[in-house]
Amino acid sequence: MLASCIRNPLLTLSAALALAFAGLWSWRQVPVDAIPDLSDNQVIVWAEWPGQSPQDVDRQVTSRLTRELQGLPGVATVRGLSLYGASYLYVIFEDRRDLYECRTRVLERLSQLGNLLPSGVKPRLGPDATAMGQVYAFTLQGPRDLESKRYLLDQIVVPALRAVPGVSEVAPAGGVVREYQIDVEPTRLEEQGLTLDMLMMSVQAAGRDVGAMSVENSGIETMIRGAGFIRTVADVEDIVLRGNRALGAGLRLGDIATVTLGGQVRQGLLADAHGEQVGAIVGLRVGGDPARVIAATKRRLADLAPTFAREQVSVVPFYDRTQLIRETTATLSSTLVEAVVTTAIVVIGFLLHVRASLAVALSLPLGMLFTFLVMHAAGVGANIMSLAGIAIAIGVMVDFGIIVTENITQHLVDLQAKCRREGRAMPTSPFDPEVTAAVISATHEVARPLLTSAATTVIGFLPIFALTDQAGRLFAPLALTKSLAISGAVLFGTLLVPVLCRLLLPPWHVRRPVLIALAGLTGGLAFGWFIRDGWSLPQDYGRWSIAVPGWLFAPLFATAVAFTVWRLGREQLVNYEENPASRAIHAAYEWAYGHFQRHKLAFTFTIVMLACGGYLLGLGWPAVSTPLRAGFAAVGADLSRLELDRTLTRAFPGAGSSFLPPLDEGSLLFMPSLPATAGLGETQRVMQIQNRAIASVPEVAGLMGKMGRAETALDPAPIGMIETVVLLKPYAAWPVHEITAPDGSVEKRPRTLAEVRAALAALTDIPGVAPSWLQPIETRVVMLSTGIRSLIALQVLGDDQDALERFAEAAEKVIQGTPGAADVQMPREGGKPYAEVRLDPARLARFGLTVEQVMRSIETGLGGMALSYSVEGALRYPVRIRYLRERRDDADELTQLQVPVTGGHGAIPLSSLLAAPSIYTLEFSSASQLSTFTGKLSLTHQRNFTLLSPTRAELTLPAGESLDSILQLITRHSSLATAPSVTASRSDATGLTYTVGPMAIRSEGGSRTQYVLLNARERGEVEVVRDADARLRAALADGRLQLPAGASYRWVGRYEQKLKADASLRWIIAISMLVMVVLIYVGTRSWLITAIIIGANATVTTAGGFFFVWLWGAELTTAVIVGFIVLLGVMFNDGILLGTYLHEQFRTPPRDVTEVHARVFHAGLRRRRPAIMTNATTLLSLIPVLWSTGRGAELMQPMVLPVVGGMIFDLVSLFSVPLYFTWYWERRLARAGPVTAATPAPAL
Amino acid sequence: MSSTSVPRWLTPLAALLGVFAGAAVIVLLPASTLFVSAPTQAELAAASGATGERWACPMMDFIGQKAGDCPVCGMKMTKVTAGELTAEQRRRMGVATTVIGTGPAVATVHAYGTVRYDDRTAQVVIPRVAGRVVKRHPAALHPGTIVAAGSPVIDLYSPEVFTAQSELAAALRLPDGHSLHALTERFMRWNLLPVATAILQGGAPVDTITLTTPFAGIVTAAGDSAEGMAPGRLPQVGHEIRADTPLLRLVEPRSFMVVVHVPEARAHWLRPGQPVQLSSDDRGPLPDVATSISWVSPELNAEIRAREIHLHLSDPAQRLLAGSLVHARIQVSLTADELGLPGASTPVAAPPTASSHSAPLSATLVPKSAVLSTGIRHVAWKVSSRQVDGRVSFVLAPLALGPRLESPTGEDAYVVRAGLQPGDEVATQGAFLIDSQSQLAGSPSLLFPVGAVAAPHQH
Repeated sequence: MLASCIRNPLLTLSAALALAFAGLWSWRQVPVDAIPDLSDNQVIVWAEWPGQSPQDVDRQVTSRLTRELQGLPGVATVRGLSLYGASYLYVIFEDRRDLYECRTRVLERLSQLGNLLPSGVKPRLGPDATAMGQVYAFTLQGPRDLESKRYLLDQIVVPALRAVPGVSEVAPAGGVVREYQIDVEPTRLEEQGLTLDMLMMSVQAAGRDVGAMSVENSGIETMIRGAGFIRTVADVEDIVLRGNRALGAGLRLGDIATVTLGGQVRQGLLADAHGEQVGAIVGLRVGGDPARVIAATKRRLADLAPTFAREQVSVVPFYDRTQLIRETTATLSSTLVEAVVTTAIVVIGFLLHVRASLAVALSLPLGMLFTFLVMHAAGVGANIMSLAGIAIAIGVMVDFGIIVTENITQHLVDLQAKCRREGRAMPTSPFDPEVTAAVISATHEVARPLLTSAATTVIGFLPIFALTDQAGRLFAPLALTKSLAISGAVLFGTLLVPVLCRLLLPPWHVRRPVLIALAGLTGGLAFGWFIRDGWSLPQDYGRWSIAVPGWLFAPLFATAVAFTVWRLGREQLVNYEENPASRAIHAAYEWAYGHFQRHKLAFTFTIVMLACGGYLLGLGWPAVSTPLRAGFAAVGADLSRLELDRTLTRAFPGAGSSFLPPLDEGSLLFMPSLPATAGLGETQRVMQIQNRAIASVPEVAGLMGKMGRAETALDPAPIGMIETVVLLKPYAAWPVHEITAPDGSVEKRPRTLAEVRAALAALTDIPGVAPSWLQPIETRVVMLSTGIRSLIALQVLGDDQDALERFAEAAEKVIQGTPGAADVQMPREGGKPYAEVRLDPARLARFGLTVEQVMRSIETGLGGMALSYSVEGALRYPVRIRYLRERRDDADELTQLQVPVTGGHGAIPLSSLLAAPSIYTLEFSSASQLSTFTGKLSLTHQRNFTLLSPTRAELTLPAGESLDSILQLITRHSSLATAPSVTASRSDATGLTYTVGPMAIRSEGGSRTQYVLLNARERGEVEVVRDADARLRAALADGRLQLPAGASYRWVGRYEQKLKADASLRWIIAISMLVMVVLIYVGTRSWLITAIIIGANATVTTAGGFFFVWLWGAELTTAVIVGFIVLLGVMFNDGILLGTYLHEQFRTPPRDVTEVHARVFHAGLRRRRPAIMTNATTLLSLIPVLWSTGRGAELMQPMVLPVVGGMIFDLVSLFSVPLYFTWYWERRLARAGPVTAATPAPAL
Repeated sequence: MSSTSVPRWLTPLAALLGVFAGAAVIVLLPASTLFVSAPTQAELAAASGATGERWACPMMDFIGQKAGDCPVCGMKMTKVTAGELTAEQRRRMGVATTVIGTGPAVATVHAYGTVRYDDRTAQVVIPRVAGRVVKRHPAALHPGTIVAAGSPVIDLYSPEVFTAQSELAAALRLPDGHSLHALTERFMRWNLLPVATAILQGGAPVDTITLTTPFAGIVTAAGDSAEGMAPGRLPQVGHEIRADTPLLRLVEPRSFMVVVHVPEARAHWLRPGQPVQLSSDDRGPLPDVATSISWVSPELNAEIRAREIHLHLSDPAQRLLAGSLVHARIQVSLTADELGLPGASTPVAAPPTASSHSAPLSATLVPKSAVLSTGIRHVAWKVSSRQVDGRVSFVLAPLALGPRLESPTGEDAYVVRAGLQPGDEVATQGAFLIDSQSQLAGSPSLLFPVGAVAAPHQH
């Protein structure tokens, strides 16, 4: 195979070309997103049950559905959320299952529910979009009113966008949906002798289109239809209530009621800094290509431009993922290009041979294209992670080419030497059989070790696929592309590079004039191209920008190009060992090795210090001292009691640890929340105030606040929840501020992102509003994967909703003090006041009414029921009857609702039917007695306790609750001397029973749950959780907190992902280490060398990684740990190769120390330069990643940090392995000598 | 390495010495340099700060629970007291305050009613003689005609009058003035003196007489107690009319009575004499029509659970028509009992009518916008102190409220029974946010009367 490839260069080259083209094509096809889709495999089930309280919804819908769905195969957990009138269930399936199969299963189960649910409740499936799928959102802006903009949106825009391929749903948000409202004054109806029932019947009877037969007249068929649908306000006004044939006149609805075109009750609204807006959010189907779908959506919106122009509106996007995708891919591609160029330069620098470098460098782009081809086949998208995998691999990819090229060169040089010995000219034609044979044998020689080396690198990285959940979804693409890129490099390195070497390496015989002409031509072309491209070359890299003047660069560039071409033609076969770079390396190495050899102890001390320092700085004293701590604990002592421990902990806290460094999305998500008591108006007021404050920050490009929910199952937000998307300007456009440093000096510079975030937080800080600042994508991911909208949360599980809430509230206070914990808040979803209509059966009986009749009147009179629908365009809009505004916005007016009596004229006010609460006036002997009494009351009663004077108070009790039992309970349980005397009791005039209930009920796996939300700021998530947990435990221990009976708590959020990933990674690293130890032993066949490599080499290298992480100020995120695994795959290569050579040299025991030195030196000679070279390529190819500043760089850099640090420290292994090996033999020889027989064996 | 010269016994000795030296160092060093003393309960409590006490960094949104420097930016943190707001915070929250005042305890009751003619002005034209109608004059043609006193109504063929005329004419010829007087007297009783005069002056008896109305007014059909526009009840030509049966009803055209039905729940507030403002469905508010309750029905209408009240009024501008639907706003002066004010437990001695004429009670009123309410528990946020640097402290004022009073401008207010005094300043806008802040801090708030943390853990 190998040989045939090399023998048929044409075939190989064309195959490579075909592969390259296929790769290019795939590259264009691969779906592009910013980061991999991290959301869980989940199916959303939702059901509406209008008008029902969260308790009822939870009891009758959510918990029943949870029980049903929990039993489905593959279900990990079911999370429930019951809101007012709606129930949401998030069925989370195991990772590996196909989403559509899961959906089918859920549907299947839902269809078999029978009459498990209350009638009229129909559970439905949410859209097949994921949390990350909200890729584009826009508003319609223009001078039209909200209602007509929403009409336009619903009627034209949403249907048009739904048809765009790849769009899963388009959720309208904000504005008002039209509704025909018939406002009536009940007593006025009464005066007219009408009842609400009659009105309802009339409205229901109005409005139907019918189709009748057709008639044929003189051969023309005419269709007959009756047009009766309500289409305008006038149609509603013209509904006839009562007619009198004799008198001719009828009573129309318009005569006695006001008919208006109004807005439906709102579930949410959108508003920017100026006012309310109407918009929609476009959801992407699972597995779709965001960039493509957004582009298609924009095209469709552009198609609608004439309509928009007619309606005087324009489309203004307020969230657009394209920007982020474009910027991250731009960062990645430029990083990749820089990495390739850097690597090529390194290769040229070492080989000093343009043609050989060309052969090596060509395998890089081809390997990448191969990766894209397989990615396309496997359905993996291009994003930061998958492209970062390629970026990491570049340094390794090039090694294979280098090794093959080098070996072929060596063989050709040998051939040249042989020819010279034989006194004949070296055959220069690539098609010469001798050359071909040399190339083939050279390739064969390295093919096996090369494959082994590639296999170890790939196998070492394969355990990454064992990561599950978010970590798995995040890093699997990376592992895949890295492995693919390396495989591709091996493929091209072994098959294509020899062919290229065969063609390129033998000296070319190009005639000098032709070459000069060619060089001149290319130089001129380069010069001309430079002129065409502009006379100066602006370089803008964010950190520095420079304009290279043309007069300097153009000639230089032209000369460089011409020289390269000249070199290409003239290069001879050279022995790399003899080029200046190699010589320099040798000289430097020998000098350093000599010094280290003489000061072995100092060297050992240095590397021990390096290792200790790296570990201390990176991991921190608490982690490093774990074994010590365990030892202390084993003998019953506590290390943390030592002052030394405290000091060390303070000095070496270690880098923090989090799941992921946040991707800078270029936009922020501000989520303030108000207590559940907040109404629409107050929430809107707060949102507007904050929006204006945000808009005043000069770095903000735009913002859009959303209150409540958009009309999609993906957004189950109650009305008090605000989400404001804040779009920031590109960094280049940030204005310069005068910033006063703490030391008083004034600096003029743009603010940093952290400063802007702090400014935004300070400006929007309104007392009474709990803030939360995150970024859109990270929030969506966390929200749908854990059900919370912060990165960390304390989840309390239990049965008693009230108790859980009280516990969470107390826990919130405890956690708030944790350093680094920001935005600590407990979602106050429990304090929604309810006014309950409780009917008194005795009173109902008196009037001969049924509960249903009364409830129907309530539903209708207060605007709950749609009686009929108007048909306009593609949609229908409800017609509702309700009382005049002033008759329903006060509680005392509400109870004046007229309930028509059965059969006949007249109606009863609702207040006559209610089971009214009783109000007791209590007289206390002293003020202190009163306060003691208050303290003993339960919260519900405290809320119903009204002070009249220091010694008098009123207690309101719902009907059916007796005062005596409460008084007894209190006096029995306490030493209250005298019970208060009841001086008066009366029944509440309005008659409504007021309670305080939840706005939303959350459940997980069947039990109720409550959260305390927090984010980590300026500290690692794991540390924050650890500290917060310690505080919580302390509070539980000393009684400040009490966990309700049957309740348990745990920490969830992204922190959980980190822990899960850590647990998996611990195994992965352990297994990888074990594999490496075996591999090292297999490679070196010597336990001594294995021990040296592990002991001296691995520790220093990993410490280097930790040191660099600390130096960079990064946290020990999962990404960093993945970086360590990458390091694990490359750091032993040098040691193994050197060890192998050493072992071979020492097959026979050396006679004396001099011979030891000679053998070690000889072994090192062959390996030194390639080792340094592969290290240098690995290292330098990663420098562009560290250097890059664009969006997405912050996700890539952590993975690279350990590799860069480790590879720098890995230089030590070049010395440590021979040095300790020599040392060992020195001691062994010395001990073997007669003089040292009595001395103890030196410990190694 | 070449340490053969060292005696064997030295090694354990050195080790022993080392152990002793180490132990001595540990023992002699002060314990505090080595060990950290275990935290006491008090320290633990201090570490978490007093309940509800919070410290905030002026620059950032960091909030801690103890005093000191901000752990993030190092600035000195300032104490945050729940309810204490700086001028800047108040501006952001849009806090507006108002001073509690007193006002007349006058509630407004809304009701709908129908306009009728004022029954009290109704006068009935009754022919005192029987006969048959032969002609109708304009007054008898249409209801609603306005007639003056003395205008003709109908012509009546009346044999009885004819006979009486003949008798009168005959008596005229008689010398006996006694019977003449008696006969004239009869005509006078019939209200037909002109007819008699005509005979006395020598006229011939006629069988048809013209009946005139003795009153002025607007015509409504006789015998119709209701709205009065029912057609067909006016005298018709050819009808026999019996004596002493009503022929026409006349009412004062500008005087009306409004019949209003007030729902049961509000009806007990009503007393005669309470002022009422009207607006008609078609003509809008009628501010110049001043009226008051003149009668309150002693019973409830069982069918519609409402109490009927009557208002009497005159509308010189004539915008009201009988039969118009009008909306009545009744200004009800509430008694101390109805307000639920202290001292109300003693029964009101005076009869209700007495209080209706005296000036309304004065009550402390709190604007509706200042009250946060769960329905039973009502609170307001009262300004407790103002610092010179612009900080204002708000304190929770639990309220006991009386009825809601409506003002014509729509700024509703509640009667305060307890919790606020006139002169107190309360937040009318932004009160919700102040309450929310207090709830977040765990201090007493609307939902948590004694604060969240201190609340008992019993359920």
